[in-house]
Amino acid sequence: MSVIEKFNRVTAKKNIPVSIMFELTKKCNLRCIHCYINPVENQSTKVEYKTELSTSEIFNILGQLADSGSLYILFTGGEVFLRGDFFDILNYANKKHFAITIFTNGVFITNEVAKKLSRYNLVNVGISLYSMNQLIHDKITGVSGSWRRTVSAIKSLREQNIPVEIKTPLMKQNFYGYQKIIKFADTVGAKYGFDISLVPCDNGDRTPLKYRIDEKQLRSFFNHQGVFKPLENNNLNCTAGKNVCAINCYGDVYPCLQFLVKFGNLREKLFSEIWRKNFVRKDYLLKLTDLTLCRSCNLINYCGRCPGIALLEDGDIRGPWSRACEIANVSRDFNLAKCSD
Amino acid sequence: MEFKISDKIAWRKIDGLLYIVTIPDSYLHLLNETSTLIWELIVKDKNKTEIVKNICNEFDVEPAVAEKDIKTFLSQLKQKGIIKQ
Repeated sequence: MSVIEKFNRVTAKKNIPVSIMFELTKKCNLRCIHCYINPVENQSTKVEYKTELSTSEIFNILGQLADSGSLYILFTGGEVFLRGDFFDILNYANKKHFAITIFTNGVFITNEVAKKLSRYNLVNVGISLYSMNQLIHDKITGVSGSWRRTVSAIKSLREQNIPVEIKTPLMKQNFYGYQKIIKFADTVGAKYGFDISLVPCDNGDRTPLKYRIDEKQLRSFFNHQGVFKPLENNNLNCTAGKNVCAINCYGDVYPCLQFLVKFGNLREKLFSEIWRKNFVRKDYLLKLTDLTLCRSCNLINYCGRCPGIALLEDGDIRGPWSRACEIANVSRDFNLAKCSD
Repeated sequence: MEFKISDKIAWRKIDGLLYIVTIPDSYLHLLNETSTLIWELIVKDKNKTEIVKNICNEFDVEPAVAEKDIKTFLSQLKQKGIIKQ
């Protein structure tokens, strides 16, 4: 067993929250058409109806997380660089020996900022880039000039040898030309990943779903991207709430930022109390046997079902996630066709 | 301080054993029980002599053997960029 397998197995079994998604703000400088954050909440110009966590509250939470065994921390938003204290937070996370990932749109990352970032324990900076066509990217973000600054940020980070992953949700708007992103990523030495799912807004608004690529585009994507091997004995296991945990910018604790079953709030209770004593978790962390429809599905080894999105999009935490079914169907066809070649 | 822990690592003691992530390769290293104890002594700024003494007290091992093993371990940490001397 590899170190990573052992790490995952031990921590999931013993319920150690080793991996944390920490949403630092909902505010954002971009207005991406597909964003899952409630549009009312991500507008930096609007008056907040809830107060986001302060610097000292975040430091306190990071200390509690370190004491609970958390090693990997992902700082996400909104846009994290809109927080004036973001470098203070990075400093503190470094001091607490976290392995840090940042999700950002990169617009605020200049050469100077990239240089500053190189001092931290960054294992990854995930940057959203929608197209190598400036007009398409800027139309998706709703902000003219954002493409130029995002591309420049990626280059600046790579010049500092900071690991970068280009993150691209594939939509009807940017589907054609996604291979140019692969070329760009290879040129600058970045990783890349395409999201072919798209999810509803966290308030249940289904607007982003209308931008999903259709079945024909899905099949084209599979054909161009090569073989997606089926999993072996897939038990649809998700470690959210087992060794993965999410905290939003108001201190609410969830199994994952896309699994919106609230465990508790860090302004009211300590993390250890919420994590250990939470009874909701036991009801929601399901085994394969709980998934009455999915457990006998013949697409199971092609399936990437997410329990949180099954709940959000299809209304049943024990039921299928319809988008995962569509993708699994295409994946199975693709693999069968490959096998018969 | 005889040994300095690198700034470019992340680490956590989990279930009694130490996991170290080296940056920027993101490689996850796992220390065994003895190595975890040595690590904790390094964190407490102990020098090599004190580390050997502690290990001999904790485990049934001759000082000469402990010293040799610790030297090898520290040299591996140094090679991986986890500590500096």
